[in-house]
Amino acid sequence: MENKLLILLVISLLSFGCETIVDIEVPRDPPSLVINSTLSDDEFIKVHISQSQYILESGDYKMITGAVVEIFEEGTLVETLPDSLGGYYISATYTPKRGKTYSIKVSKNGFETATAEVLMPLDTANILSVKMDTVRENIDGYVSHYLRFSIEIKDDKAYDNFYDISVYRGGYFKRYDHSVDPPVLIDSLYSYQKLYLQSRDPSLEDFQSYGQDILFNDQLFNGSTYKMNVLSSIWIDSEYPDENQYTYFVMLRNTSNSYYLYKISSQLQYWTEEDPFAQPVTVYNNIENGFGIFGALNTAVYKVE
Amino acid sequence: MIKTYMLWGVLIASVISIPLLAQQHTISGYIKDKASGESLIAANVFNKLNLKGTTTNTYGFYSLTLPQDSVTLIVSYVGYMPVESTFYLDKDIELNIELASSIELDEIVITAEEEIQQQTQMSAVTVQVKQIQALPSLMGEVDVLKVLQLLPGVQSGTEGSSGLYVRGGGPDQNLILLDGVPIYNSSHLFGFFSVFNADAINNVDLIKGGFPARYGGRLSSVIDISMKEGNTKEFKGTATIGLIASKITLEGPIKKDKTSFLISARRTYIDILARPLIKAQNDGNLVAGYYFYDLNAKINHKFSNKDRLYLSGFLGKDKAYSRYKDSYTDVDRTTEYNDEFGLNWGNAIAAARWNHVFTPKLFSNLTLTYSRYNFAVFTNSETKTTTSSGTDSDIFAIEYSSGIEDFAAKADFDFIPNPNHYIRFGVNGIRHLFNPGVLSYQSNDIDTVAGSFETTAFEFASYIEDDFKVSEKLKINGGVHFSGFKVENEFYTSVQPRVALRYLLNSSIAIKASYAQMAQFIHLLTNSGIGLPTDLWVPSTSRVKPQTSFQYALGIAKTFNKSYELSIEGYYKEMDNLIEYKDGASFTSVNKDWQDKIEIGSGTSYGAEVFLQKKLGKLTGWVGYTLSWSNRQFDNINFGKEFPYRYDRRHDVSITSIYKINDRIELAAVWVYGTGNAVSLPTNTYLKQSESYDYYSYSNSVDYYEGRNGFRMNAYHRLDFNIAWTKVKKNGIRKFTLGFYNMYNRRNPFFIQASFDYETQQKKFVQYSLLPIIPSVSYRFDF
Repeated sequence: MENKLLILLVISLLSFGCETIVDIEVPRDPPSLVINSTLSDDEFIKVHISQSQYILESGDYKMITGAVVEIFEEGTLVETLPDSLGGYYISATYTPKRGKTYSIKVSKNGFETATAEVLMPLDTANILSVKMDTVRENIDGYVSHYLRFSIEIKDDKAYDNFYDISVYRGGYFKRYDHSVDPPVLIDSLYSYQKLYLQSRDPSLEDFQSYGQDILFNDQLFNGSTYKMNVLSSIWIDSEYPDENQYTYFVMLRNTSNSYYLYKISSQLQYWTEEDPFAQPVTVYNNIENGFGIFGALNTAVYKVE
Repeated sequence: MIKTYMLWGVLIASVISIPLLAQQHTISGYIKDKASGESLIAANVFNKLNLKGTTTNTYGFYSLTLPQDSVTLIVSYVGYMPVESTFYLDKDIELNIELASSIELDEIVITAEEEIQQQTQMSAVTVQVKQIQALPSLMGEVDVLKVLQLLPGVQSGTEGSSGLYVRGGGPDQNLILLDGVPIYNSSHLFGFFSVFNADAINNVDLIKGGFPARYGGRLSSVIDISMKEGNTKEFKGTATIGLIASKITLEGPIKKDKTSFLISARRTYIDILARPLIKAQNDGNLVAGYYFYDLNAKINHKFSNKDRLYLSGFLGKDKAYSRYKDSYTDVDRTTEYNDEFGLNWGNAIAAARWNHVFTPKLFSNLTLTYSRYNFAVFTNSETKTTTSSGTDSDIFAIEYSSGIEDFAAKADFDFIPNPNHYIRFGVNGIRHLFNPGVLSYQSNDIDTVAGSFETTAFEFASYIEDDFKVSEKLKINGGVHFSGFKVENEFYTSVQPRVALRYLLNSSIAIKASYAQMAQFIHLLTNSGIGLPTDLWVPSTSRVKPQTSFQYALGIAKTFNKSYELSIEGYYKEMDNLIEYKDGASFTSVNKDWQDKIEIGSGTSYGAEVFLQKKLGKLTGWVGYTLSWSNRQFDNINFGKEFPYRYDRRHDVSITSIYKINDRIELAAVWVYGTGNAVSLPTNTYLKQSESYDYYSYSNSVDYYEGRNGFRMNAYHRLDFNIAWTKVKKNGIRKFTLGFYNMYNRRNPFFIQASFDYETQQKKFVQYSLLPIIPSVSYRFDF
């Protein structure tokens, strides 16, 4: 709250001031490989490879094709992933196993070979119950209707757990042709939509409290039951006439420490980039000779009745 | 401990060896301003016949012991007519002297205070309040701390802020004393103004190194500010109307020459002016604003020539607020909203001081103090829904508060056995209560409190020092400061030797050297380093050790033509157990103990300072230049590598001048230049992990920073200018001041960001500037 006021003050003062484009000599390093991959025990291994670029370089990031992407389980090569275009390298057969250590080695001419390692979390995330109701809340001065999900989690005391909560809704989403008046229904397809969430849980910092994923750890409730409330705005319009027609699914992911640190630090960097007083946030990186994340998670899904 | 005993031994032996060849007598008393009765601090008292002398202490008291003989005593103070008195000294005498202010300074050549080359103390500056009031200021608000920023060795931090970074130290390492009481947050309006109202201030001393043993508890500086005592002769007042604030000061005798009072108040009024506009724009539903105020009050009573009592207090507060009320009716349902937001912080201090003169050679001061700093931010929201079946109410309230509270007692003694020794000793104790952040959260079904627990700690110190004139050429100030800190089950102690010496090469030039060890038992957690109210004071604990430092300094000091003073100094300082927030950690993350949110490291700082000051004449002012390096090293920041401190500034120049054209018109100008602040900039960028890589935007990229503070912003420079017209009116003196801050509208860097320029379709670094040219006017009336 205070930070917002401060930023407001600075912005109002800046409106009297001005902005100037300046030349600052920033050294240009050769690009490095960027590995983005999160192993999941219910998906085939999928890796995305791109290259980093100079900070003042404009244009899209370049995807890497033709790289050699090798996956090792406990040090033994299990698969060289096929190039699946668009920077993706996707296994057609291999699903990671809980409790195993995986490593990745990516080689490509013109780049240093990049490597990383991760342990698949052993513990399965455990949702005891989910209650859903409708509430009216005043958040930051805006009064609105929200769906509230009260998610009860049982934590395993034997592990330091890192969690990621997301909520999906499934239903028939209608498409209309708006070129005619009144719009004409084209079709109605069953699909899933990931909801934007917010939470007022006191264990979360501001930057963790909004988004499609709410990340937290078990530091406050290690080994016990914890209730996390998340809210999602209800959008009422002609295309979504009835909230009751949807089915809601709560997804609780138990993640590796590296995944949690990467997500939290990248969220924080994004959150603070407009704050002139904040020290810049270094995003967690577990790729040797490169950038990105090689993370892991397992998932529990709870259908809200 | 062996060092301590040796120092004590040297001191005691030196005092015992006082020459007793001739019968000696003591002249003692107080030096005051003739018109107001205010104490004159550091006034020079000097026997012309044997060239022995002394200076007055903080209370205007002096003591000079001389052999039985004729004495021609000269008492002088800058800006005052000197007084000369000749008599035969054959017994102890009490001599209280009042000096008359001199208007035509330019025509007077006087010996002012003790000349700089005579003083043992180095790395210290006394700034005259008249100079502070004459120099240009931001929006016309005279600011004591901003004037101190113009001195060499003192950096100013970010644009417009009143934070002080002394010789590479942090803002928490300054012991800011108001009438001997520490002020924990010296800022109003997020650091743009300091809490000190110059109308209520008598004297400002800054010490950057070579700390005498009587000071302790902070690593980098002592800023000792004395409030005025109040006019003991007649009722006086000052009223000032400025651009953003107005202030009034009243002072006078309650009983002439016995008891006097001073009260001074200041308040901003933007909120009052803006209130009707805000209401009009929101149909009267919204009330919002910001203001700050401060209040200084002091009473002093002279029981006798031996006993005086001073009671002083300060209250300062900043408050931002908004209240919103609305309601609507929808068929049979009425909904009412009541929202309130508040942000307030402030200091409250009180001091009771009792001066007692035991003998003409032994002066004492007993002080009891209270100091409190509080910060609170809250938001309350209530939504009431009324239908035919009744009323439902949804409430939500969240409040975060933090603060520190001190009760302290100290006893200080000045023992002046003869002109060759000035011994000071004393003890003090402080009871600290830390509240490092509590968050309370309340809604219809939750009522919870989270955060760190309050912690009580006890700090104590004792000291002894002697300003010892070994010979006409050599003078040494040696001493030791012993301090301790008890918190929870931890007990820290620290022995800090201090020594400073000056050696006169001839009557106008001296070489000076000093060594000081310091310890600091409390730390400031700060995100911004600009003195935000959210900065959090925390104690040393078993995990977070006390901050420590040592500093060497070497320099020369010279006086030219009685009115110019020059000092050139070099220093080297090392600091240990410094703390910083971890990347991204902030004051609101109450799920962690503050100790889990910090990194512990060290710092070094070294450099050279040149200070040329002209104190007398139509033209007064100074030129200061600093060449410095300041670095930090934390194991978990910047990959453990040393990095430049945010306010590491290679070159820093300040030129201040006040030119009095005649009794009616005075011009003042300040020009400052500083190497650009150190800044962290990204060198590379890459794709963030995402569920889809088909769409690119800044939100799905990550910036890579090679190191902390590896780049430099553009240099900072600025010219400020003031012109003041003074006129004697029937009922008093009026002064009209027109000022310009940043006169040539320099676009100084405030922060830099990489941004996309849509015109050129290129990414560029964009510098944002904060304060353009800002004119100001103020009207002051002294009655």
